[in-house]
Amino acid sequence: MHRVDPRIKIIAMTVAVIIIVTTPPGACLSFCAYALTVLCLLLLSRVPLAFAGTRLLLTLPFILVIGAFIPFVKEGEVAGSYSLGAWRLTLTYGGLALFWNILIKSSLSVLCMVILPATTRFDRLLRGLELLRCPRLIVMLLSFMYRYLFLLSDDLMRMLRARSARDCGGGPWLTVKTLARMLGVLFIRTYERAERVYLAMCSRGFDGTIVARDALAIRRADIFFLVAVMICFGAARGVGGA
Amino acid sequence: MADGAIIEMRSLSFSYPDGIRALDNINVEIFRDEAVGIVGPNGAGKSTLLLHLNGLLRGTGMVRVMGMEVDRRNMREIRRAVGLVFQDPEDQLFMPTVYDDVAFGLLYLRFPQSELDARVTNALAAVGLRGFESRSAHHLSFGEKKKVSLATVLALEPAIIALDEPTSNLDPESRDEFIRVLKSCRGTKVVATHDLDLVVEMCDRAVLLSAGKIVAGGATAEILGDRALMERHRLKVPLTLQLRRKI
Repeated sequence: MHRVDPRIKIIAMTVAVIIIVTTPPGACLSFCAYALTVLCLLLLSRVPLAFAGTRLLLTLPFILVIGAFIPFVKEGEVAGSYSLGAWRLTLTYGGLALFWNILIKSSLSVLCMVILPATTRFDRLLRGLELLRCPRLIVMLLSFMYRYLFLLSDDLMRMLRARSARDCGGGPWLTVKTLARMLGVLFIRTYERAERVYLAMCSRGFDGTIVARDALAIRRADIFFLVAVMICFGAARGVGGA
Repeated sequence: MADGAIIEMRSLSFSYPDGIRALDNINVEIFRDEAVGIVGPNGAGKSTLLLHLNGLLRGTGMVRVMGMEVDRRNMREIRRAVGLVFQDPEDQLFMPTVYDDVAFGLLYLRFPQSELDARVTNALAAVGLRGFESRSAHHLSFGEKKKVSLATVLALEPAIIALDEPTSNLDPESRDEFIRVLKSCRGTKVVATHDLDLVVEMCDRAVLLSAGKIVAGGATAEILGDRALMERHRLKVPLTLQLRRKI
């Protein structure tokens, strides 16, 4: 799994997500089969399940925030209603089903996407995106983000430590105020860093265009992997439809 | 062009947009295969001077590199001829892997892949980091980052290597190693620093820059050994010279 060409992995996982997302909500068997396939892939790629689990948990709040309103907003057969003062909330069966559907589909999709970076070094992933004709500007942005994110967090850590070292108590309001100023300083530092990086790029001949290196080679095993993943997900979808 | 001068600056002045006059009527000549130290206290304008060597900053007056005027027309040639190593390697290493960073300049010179690989390998070997190609810059030690920064420039085989504070933040061992690597590099070297021992160790000539002006220039031992001159400009006679004198 780790040796598969990054392009193949990106395509395979994207198609898998599309198959999952377009499955009719009622096809419970399909979802079970998907889960099984994703689990197999995770085991095959030796991604620790706890790692995948924590990644999933990280995205859950977003899914819940978006999905939580749906059971109340969607119209249909009423499952229950609650009154909160002047507000009246009605819960519908259709809404609940939709919520469940969103929850399961997004979780499965997230797990698919966890496999991608867990089995591919980030620079290979970027190369894959680049070779798949993803706009170079976006690839470059991602590359800079990856390179400087850690530096940025290190910077913030140092500032927080410097603050703690001089913090003799001043109440929560002062803490918030300091933090706000710190973020301002961090922004300026990042901005200045960007200018210096730009100078460094220019001095090595950067002229505003983005030049890429040539292609990676796709092996027969890569194609085999792609076909196998496609068949698994296709079959999983077929199971539910029957 | 003065005879054999590879870098020539004539009445060069530069002010930053906020009005600070960083360089004031600079006249310098640097000759082929010479190693020149540009010394001066903090804020003297050393880095600003280096940024003029490959046209990253453009002041009034004249800068010539290898006989070419530093302007838009010659920029490509000049950036190839002058390899600039920045003070902070985090600024210089901006790609996901060491390979990508070293190959960056070569890509922009449209080198074919085969030669790209060879040059990257050679440049990394020259700084003693063979096999570091697929490492990420984030996971290197500071000394290694500095060396990779140098390799990113060496890959282009520049005629002039300009270094901004090359030894800052290095531990003694890494510092010695870095100087050794630097000494083994061919070409003209311009080193802007306040590590005066470094200048004694590797430069034939020193130029003293203070508050944007050139106040003295000449043989390293002569300039850096002048105690009154050094102290007037917030510097000190380097220990190596003091010891030499005692012996």
